[in-house]
Formats: sequence, C-alpha cells, structure tokens
Amino acid sequence: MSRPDPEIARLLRRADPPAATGPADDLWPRMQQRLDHHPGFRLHWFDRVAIVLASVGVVFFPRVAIQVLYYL
Amino acid sequence: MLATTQAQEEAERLRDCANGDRDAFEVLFRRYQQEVFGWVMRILHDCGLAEDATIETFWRIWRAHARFDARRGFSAWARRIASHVAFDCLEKRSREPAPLAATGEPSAPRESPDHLVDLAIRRAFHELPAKLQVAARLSLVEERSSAEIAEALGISVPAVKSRIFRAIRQLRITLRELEVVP
Repeated sequence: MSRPDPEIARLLRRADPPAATGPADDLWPRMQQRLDHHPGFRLHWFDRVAIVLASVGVVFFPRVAIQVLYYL
Repeated sequence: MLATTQAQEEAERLRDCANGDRDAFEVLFRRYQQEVFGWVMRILHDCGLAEDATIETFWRIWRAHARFDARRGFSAWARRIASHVAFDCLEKRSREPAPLAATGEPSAPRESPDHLVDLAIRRAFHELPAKLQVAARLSLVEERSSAEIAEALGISVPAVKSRIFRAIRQLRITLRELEVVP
C-alpha cells in the first residue's frame, strides 16, 4: 500500500511507534463491576423529556390528546 | 458456511444478553476482548485508556444489542463501536494540555536533533482534531488499509483519504510554525 506522505509517516512511526497490542489483563472482573453498577433499563434524557411534555399536554389539553389518539 | 453459523450463534447470544443472560455476554466478551483491546490500543496508544475504552465498548454492546445486524458479523460491529469510543477518548484528551512525552519512548536518543523533531511531531499530532488523528494514526502508523479504516469508522473510503490528507497538511503547517524542518 503506498503511503500518502512517506516522510511524515516515517517521522510519525519514529516519534510514536506502532502500539504493542499484546495481551491485556482479563477485563471481565471490571466488566462485571460495570454491569453490577448499572443493571437496569435506563431512559434516555430525551425520552424522559418527551414523556413529561406528553403528560403535560394530556393534562392541559385533554381534547387534543383524545383527537390524536383517535387518529393514531 | 462456517462464518454464517458463527454469526447466527453470536446473534443468538446477543438475544440472550437482551434477556439479561450474563453468561452469554461473558462468552462474547472473552472471545472478543483481546481483539477490541488491540484495536483501541492502535488508536489510543495508551494501555490504561485502551482498557477503559474496551470496557466502555462492551458496555455499549450490552445496551445496544437490538441494533446488531447478524449479516455484518459481530467483529465488524464491535470494531465500529470501539472506534467511536476511542474517538470520544481522543476528543476528551485533546481538551487537555498536549503532553510533550506520551507513553512509550520515541526511537531517537534523547538530546539528539531527531529527539526534538520527535517531540515536535508528537505535539503537533496531539493538536490535530480527533477525527484526523484517528485516520492518520491507523493509516500512517498502524498501516491499515483505507477500506478497513472506512469500515471501522462508518465512513467512505474517500472520506478516510480526505482526513489523512488534511492531517498531513496540518502536521506540515504546524511543524513549519514550530520551525521544525523534518
């Protein structure tokens, strides 16, 4: 594969050689901790805002909500 | 045929994960953690960050299991997610002051003119926007093909080449400003 700029490529490889991607420690224990701390379903903030707005709309404009439901 | 069977098996495991089956998730994790770690390490060049990014990648996989397309294969999908995670790490890191000496030593001996050039290159590279850094590092340092980079980043091959070109141009400008002539 031809390098777009062999000189810059050579300098980059000298300044910051290719990564050694040898075996990392087993990360499963850390992954388990992450799963334990965030087990359940979480609503995205956008979804929460949408639910709040929809609830407010139903409370203050019940007729509009019924019409929307009808056409849905 | 074997690839299809494996893809189906992985799709099944992800469905099991959707039901909270951690054993299924552990199988996927142990099978792919090395590959994911190796990929993010190529982008980040920092072992600690690469481990964090690996955990974050699998966390996103755990939560996004519904978006898995069995036709593409788990490995390609995991790599795409890992690339985005690494990209986020780089963006966060780019807001911090540029290190003069990153992890690992440059090849040139200290106090040589080459060592100063190496430090300048590292600094200039660290100042690149994250998306240019990722493309340039994977192409110029890790020598991955444009097609492979494009697939991992979810962009087109011309877009990869454009980012590499812009990265090189910016590096040359920065080196000229630092009065470093390679």
